[in-house]
Amino acid sequence: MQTDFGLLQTALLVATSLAATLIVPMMASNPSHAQSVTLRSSDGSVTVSGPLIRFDGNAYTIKSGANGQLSFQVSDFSCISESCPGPNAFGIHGSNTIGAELMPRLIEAYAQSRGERAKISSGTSAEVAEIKVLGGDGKNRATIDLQSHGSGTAAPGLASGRAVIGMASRALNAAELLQLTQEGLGDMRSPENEHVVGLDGIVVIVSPRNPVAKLSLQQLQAIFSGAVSDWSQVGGTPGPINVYARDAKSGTFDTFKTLVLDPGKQKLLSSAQRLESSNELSDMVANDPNSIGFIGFAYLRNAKPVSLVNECGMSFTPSTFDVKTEEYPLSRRLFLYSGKLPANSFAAGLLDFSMSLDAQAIVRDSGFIDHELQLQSVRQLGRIADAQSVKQKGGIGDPFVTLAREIQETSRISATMRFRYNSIELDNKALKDIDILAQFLQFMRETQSGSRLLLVGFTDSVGALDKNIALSLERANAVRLALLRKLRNPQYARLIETRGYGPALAVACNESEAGRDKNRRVEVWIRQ
Amino acid sequence: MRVQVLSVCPAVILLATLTPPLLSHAGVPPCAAPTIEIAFQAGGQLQFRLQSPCRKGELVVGRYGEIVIMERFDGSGNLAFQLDCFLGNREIDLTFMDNWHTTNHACSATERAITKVAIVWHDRVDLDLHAFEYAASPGSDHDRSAANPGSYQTAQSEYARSSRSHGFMSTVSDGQQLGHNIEVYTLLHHPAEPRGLIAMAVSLGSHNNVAGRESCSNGRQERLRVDLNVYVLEHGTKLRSYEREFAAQPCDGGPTRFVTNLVPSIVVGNAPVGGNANAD
Repeated sequence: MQTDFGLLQTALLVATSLAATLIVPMMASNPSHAQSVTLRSSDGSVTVSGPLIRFDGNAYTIKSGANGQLSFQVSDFSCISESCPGPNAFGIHGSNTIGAELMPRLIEAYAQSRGERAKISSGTSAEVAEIKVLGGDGKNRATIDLQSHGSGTAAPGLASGRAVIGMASRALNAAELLQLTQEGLGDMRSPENEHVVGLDGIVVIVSPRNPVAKLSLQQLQAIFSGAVSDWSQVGGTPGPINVYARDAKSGTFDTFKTLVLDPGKQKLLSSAQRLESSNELSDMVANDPNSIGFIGFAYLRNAKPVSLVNECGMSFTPSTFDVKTEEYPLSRRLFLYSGKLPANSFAAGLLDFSMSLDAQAIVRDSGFIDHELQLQSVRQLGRIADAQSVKQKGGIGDPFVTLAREIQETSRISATMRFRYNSIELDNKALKDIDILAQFLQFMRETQSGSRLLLVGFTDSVGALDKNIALSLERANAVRLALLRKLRNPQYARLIETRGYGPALAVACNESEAGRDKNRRVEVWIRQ
Repeated sequence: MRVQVLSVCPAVILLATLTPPLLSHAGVPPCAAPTIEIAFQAGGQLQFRLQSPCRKGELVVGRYGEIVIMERFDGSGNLAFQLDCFLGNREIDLTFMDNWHTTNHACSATERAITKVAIVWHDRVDLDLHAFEYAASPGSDHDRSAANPGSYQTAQSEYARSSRSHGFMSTVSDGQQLGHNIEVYTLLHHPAEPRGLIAMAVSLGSHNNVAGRESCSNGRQERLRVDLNVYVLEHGTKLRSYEREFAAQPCDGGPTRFVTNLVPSIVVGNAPVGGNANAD
């Protein structure tokens, strides 16, 4: 067997010293959740035993002493005890929104694409399942421990090695990113590690027997914090408001808290009924005419969705297009996170498949919003009126004149590019949109449709108008450059024009950071 | 308890393991072909009536796709049984103990206005399929299961009264069948059905809301596990199937005796979210 001699030598040196000094302490400190394993070097000269705390397909990490840990590459060490993890036994932990239905469907479809089949076994609760992937010969190809206890369990699962894929219905927070970096999993925000599998909107729900159809974000804040406790205070039939919310580990709750409660520095009403399951929450709200709750798009089930009115009076009915553009006030991304996975492992294949076009149909069938492009022309005409309700700083009279003309001649495509904070670097969803837009341009060229794309940049209202117009054009040009790099053919250049309209056509209120963030974008319009 | 299951059950294996000694036909005059009457029934079912005086007490093996059904003639040589067409339009083959067989009885009774969800298992365990119509609570009128099956007529009257799609348990099983055990929920789609969802679940056949000793695992022994196949025939045409394993829930789970992640829910009507009224 060929090995990297330097690497092996280092490992052997460490392991040799371990053999003499650390095996007994390691065994003694075996935590209850960790199985003890025995590793043997490829030349058979070194044997190491200890509690296995992580196996990611590349390396075994075993506990050393009270707080230490040591990693052994699979290329240099074999696991020889009965308790060794199978080569394709791994965990997927995190979001209940993703894990309850979407992830099992993705696993089934991926297995099918390999000519295999998935067998789902019910776990000890609705949030736990074991999925075995079986080959045509009936032999086990992979065993997946799927645990959907909430987005807050994704990072701990990855850090402990019990999961190699983390599911989250919100981006990992700073503390989680730091923890995973310290565990050696790398920068989780990088395109290699952070994957936007689909989009979602948090839908505020009531019972179909509740006449309330529209609520403002301020009213929601008051209801969920307990400041308003009777439906008559928000235009409903008099009666106490029963508040339901997902549990504290939930990404759905985190997103709702960030977008609705935090701006008013409010906390969730302590008497709110908290639930781990989105399905259960939705059904409880559907059955209680005095209740209110919130869930992801896919969990509407038998409840009634409520339209939302933002701080500056813009009204949003939950719709696919508004979630695709991320302009729906409670829109969010659904993430899969992973460290580096072995190239030919089932987990790596599953992750690749989850990001493929084939998987997008499954995302859609599961009730979430996929990345596919959607065209909108009717509402495009009404956008100027909508945007005029948003307070603008510095006056935007002139840009509107040109804008009004172009808006009448174009349709809007749902792909809407946003950037990393304070930069012109495209974020991970925008990178995915670039791939899809490039395919769309190829189709346009092949079919000689005669259409052209307009990449239209916008900013928030902070700063001088001329600077914002220049910045918005710079961002549109950055998107154009990324597209042309992807297409590698200069002939596409004539099909893509750019514009910069600064703070015009605001899609959210500029008073809040979340609103300003939505306004900093590049839209894609098509001129037929 | 672990019960070994034959995922595909060839009739010969089943006959060898499950039936009493068979009658020998050696030296007796050949038995005439049975008379077979097949009637289509509303709700996507076929009613079989067989008569064969020379086959008293004998078994008949039916094959419908990969499903094996075993029924026995009574002491007068009569046999009546229903077949639920949950696999859609497939042939049904009947084989008798003297190897006489008949085929080409197409199960074409399913219609576009019907959706069927079936669970099929072979272990001698009483599983119940539940359909919670529109967020119905366990044990309520619209929790359809073997304990509250409803009928084609009740589904139709609810359908007429509420303008919503309703259904009934068209086949139930106590888990003691010689062939496959089958439970089928049949949904009658209302043409103008509003959006809604019918959640499906599987439980052990204890018709109470709280898990009993026989329907849960108390940790003192290995959890009961049962292999099953799930079939969903949407609008009488598109068939999907899933391989699943039912594992009994812990005894302290209370309402969690319902296993909800094995059988897909039925979504009816048009979704007001997820769609886009503004799009071209």
